[in-house]
Amino acid sequence: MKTFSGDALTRQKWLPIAIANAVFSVLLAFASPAFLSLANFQSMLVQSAVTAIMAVGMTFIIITAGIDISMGAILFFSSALFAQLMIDTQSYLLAFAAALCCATLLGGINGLLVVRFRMSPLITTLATYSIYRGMAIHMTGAQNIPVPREMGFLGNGRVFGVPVPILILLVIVVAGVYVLNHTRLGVYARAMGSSTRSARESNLPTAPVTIMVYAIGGFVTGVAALILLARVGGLQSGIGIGIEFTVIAAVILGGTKLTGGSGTVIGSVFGAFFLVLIENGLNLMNASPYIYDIVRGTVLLAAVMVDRLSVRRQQKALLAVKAARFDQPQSVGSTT
Amino acid sequence: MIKALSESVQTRPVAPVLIALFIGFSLFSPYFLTTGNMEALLTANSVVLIASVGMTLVFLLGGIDLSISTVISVSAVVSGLVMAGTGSIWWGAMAAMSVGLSVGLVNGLLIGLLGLTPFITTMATQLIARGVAFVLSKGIAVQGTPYGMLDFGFLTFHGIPAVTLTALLVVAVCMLLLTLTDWGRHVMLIGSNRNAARYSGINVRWVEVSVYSVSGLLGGIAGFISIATLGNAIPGVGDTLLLIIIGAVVLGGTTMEGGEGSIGRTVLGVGLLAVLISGLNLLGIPFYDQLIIQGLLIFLGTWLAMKLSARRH
Amino acid sequence: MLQDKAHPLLSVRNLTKSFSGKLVVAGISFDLYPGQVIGLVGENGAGKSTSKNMLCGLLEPTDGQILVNGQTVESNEGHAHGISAVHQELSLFGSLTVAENMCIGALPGSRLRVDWQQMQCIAREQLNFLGMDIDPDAAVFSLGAGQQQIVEIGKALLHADKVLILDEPTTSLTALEREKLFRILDKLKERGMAIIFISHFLEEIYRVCDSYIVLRDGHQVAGGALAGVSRRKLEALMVGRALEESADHGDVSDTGTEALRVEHLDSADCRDISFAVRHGEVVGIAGLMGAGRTEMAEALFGLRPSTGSVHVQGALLTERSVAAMKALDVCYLPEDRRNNGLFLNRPVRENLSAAAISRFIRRRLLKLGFAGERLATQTFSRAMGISIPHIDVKVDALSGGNQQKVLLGRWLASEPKVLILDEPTKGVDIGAKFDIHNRIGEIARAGAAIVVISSDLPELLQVSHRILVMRKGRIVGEFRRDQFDSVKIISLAASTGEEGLAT
Repeated sequence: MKTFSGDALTRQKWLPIAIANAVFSVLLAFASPAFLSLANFQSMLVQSAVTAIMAVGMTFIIITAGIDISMGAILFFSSALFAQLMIDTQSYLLAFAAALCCATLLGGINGLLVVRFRMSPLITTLATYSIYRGMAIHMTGAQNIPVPREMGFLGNGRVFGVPVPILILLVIVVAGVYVLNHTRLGVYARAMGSSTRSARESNLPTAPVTIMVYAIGGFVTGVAALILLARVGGLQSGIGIGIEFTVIAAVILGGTKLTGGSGTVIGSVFGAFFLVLIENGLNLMNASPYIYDIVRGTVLLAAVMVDRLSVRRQQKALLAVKAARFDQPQSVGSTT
Repeated sequence: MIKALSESVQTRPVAPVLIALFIGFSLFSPYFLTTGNMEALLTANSVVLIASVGMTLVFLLGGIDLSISTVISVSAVVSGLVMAGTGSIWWGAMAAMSVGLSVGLVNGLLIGLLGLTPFITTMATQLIARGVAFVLSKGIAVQGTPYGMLDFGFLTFHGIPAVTLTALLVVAVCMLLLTLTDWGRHVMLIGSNRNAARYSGINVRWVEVSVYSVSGLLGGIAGFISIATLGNAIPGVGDTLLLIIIGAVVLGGTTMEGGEGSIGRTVLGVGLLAVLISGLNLLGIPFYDQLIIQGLLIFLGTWLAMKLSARRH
Repeated sequence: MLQDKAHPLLSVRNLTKSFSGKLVVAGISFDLYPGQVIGLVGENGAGKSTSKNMLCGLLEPTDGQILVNGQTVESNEGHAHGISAVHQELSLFGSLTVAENMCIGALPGSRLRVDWQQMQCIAREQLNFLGMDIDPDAAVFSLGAGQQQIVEIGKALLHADKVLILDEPTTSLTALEREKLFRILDKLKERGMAIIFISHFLEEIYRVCDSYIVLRDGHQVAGGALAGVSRRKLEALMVGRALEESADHGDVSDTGTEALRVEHLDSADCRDISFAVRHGEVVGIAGLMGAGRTEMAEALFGLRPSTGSVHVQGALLTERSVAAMKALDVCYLPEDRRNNGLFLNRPVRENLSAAAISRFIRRRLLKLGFAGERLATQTFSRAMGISIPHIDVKVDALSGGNQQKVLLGRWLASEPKVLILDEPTKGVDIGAKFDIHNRIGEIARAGAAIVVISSDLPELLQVSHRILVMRKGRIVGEFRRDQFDSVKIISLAASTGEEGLAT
């Protein structure tokens, strides 16, 4: 049954990164038999959960040709808010609600600023990055705050034998896929990134859609913050620094282009998983953790280079097709 | 006279703000205007100044160089190691500059020749440069900085630190290149309209490669200077600088869209951020509140620059 | 007009549009009945696109009325009144599917659940009706130009139940696809849809339309039933004004040496282009939009990949690039001023010196500084008749005519021996146009070889010694000055088949 919009498209986009994941897994399995255990895969999925969840949101933003540099700051902000509220009120409900609402709000503010002031999303979110982070540290007074022990459930607990972060990731991914592929918002987001001019001529609601995608980015960052907090055991000053770049890398690896218009949630999740896979491989080789960055950067470069070369090939083929019409007969019969 | 003044205020809103801040802080804190504080301010911001000039060139071209921050780190580390090994400052300087230049060249080739997006490309090289810096230094400050280098860090001429003079020299050379050579003109024109530059017979690719190379080179020089100002080559030195560098450039009024702005404006932008941070520190404002103020400034500064440029058209 | 349907679907009364005081459409009026197809014809710049944009609601008319079903439309929103247009530049989303593109204006299902099945049904039904075998799930960018055009028409039809406006719908279509489109239009006619058909190809007008309107310089100069109106008459109506042979434009002697020779130039958009231009000669290249003229010039300068040989002053060019051409004093003035020509946020001074900064000015010391630039550009801008308060004004602030003079000045500054001008007076007012024509004559007399690409035929007739006609990527005819005949040239450029070539 073909009810999936853009089925052919979506399949193509995440296929390369899925294959890369598979090939790399096989290689690692050869290198170390311990690699191919369910437990190891579960642990890798848990490791990738935070980035993957954020990557789902970033995919929406990048699909509209935007970007959010402030995600790490939002992550820190909602972590801080949660930890602080737990200390102050001891109410899980309040803390959870506040952290998620605030994260959504901060994301939404990014979108609002981009729409209202028409500045480049990069500079806008760079500014809010600084502001959000400053506000968060202001709130906590630059303290490290532990979270209650039960919070660990979110990070390390299991339901029916499945680690909780994986379950949450699953829910977010399913929701993300649904929203991107089955709601008007998703169609509009892809349309806007595809052509601003056509979006204008077709009278699409660009402003609300922009605000919504940034808000979605904020919301999933809030969710990721809670998992991270649970896994780390408390608020630390370094939380979220530089994570936006890892998230962007995951999205790009997943086949989404910075120029917008197309991309898949699944691809980004695979991208995030691939980054963990690399780490795992390096771990097996007892490589220094400092090498991770080098490998990550190289992989990213390789991915965009391959993509660029294939685009060039496509363009050449297109020109050839265009030129070929000269070799066809000019017209069918004389019209006069 | 008044008209000219008001016009220059309109095109360069940063200058009066900078002066006002300067006067304000001097009044509020007796320590602000002391030689010690001024020297510290100048020394601390020399690295940012040099790197910001590199970022300005890239912005003028219509690109972005995210790698410049960790180029500072990696060239500092390499330079530190070379100096520790050879004991020669000159070899250290050469090493820093070659490392910076090579990363810049790679950026330039990938962006200019292969046509990759500047954002992703420099994000990737940023990661790689950072990784190399940490691997080579094993994550800790490089020991064995020659005494000459430390002396260089403390050296002053008439109250102006030698490192600042070096930075100003770099600024001057880049200004010269940008305003007085064909190359500089071509940078501005490409940033203004890349297609039109191509149709005018400007060698767009070469200029792109060279601008990213220069940006890398400046990152290398900044890395070298950082050893003098900090006493050691520190692998994480660049990590926190990216925000300040981009902030200083956009605050000065050079836009990311290209073809509009100048190195002079960036110097003002760096000055503004430097004075602001120093003053806020003296007033006892905690660093996190400074972050908020910086963010607001970057936002308002960019918005204002955009408004002004739109009105002048 | 058709008499069988009594009430017009769409009536237009005295529709007028002016941009900053300049009249672009001056009071057109017509009635459109169900099942009727009106052909809107006229030369480039006659006001066809502006009329179209007013009818489909993209532009607010300055004056006049639009009535749908006899009721005055206050603020025209196109879709809301069943009017939809297919623009020359398609408004599709490349990375979306065919079905999504067609339905994006009114996605079926709810906000939270787009009904893909229904969307597919709608798209498939529409495609079936249009007789196209396109997968609704295919991404639009993967389709050919012709299929994209059909998708756009399908999209427009979803919103238009009354009036469909087609603006040059066939420029990118093959003969087969065109015939298909015409059959679709026939079907729509049977359904009682009214169509406004804008085209340069008069054969198409005769094939599709039953009445016509001729626009010239924004005025409606003729209209009525098409039957019985000869093609010659229509062409004459379009061209209108008597041709003013310029007296000062003496014939060039045939003795000038050859400055530029192009042989068998092939690229994706042009095929087997061969021609030569002598010193002192102005060669015009006529043709319709999309005939491949700009693409040919760009291929010549290495701005597009191409094969073939180019000789400058008898020497074969080994490398094709703007810089290499510039070194040989061969210059190209691009058609698209804003995107490919001007540095809008840079001053006039830098725009003038952009192409030749190193030889245009003298150095202060070493190789630094642009000592003579200000003076040289000032002198030059005065010579070009560019009216600006001072030389550091940003180009953005200038009028179209002055912008064009700046661009022209950039290339004249390097004293070219061969100059290719692409639409040199597009969007330029009469005064500036006159100046530019004079300028072209002057530099030609000074010994430069000039190629003028223009869609403005009177302009070509005025400035050129010889006119080449391009159609669908090939040169199909050549006229010497004593053979100039605007009607012949237009009919050659706009014919679809291979009629006898003029020589």
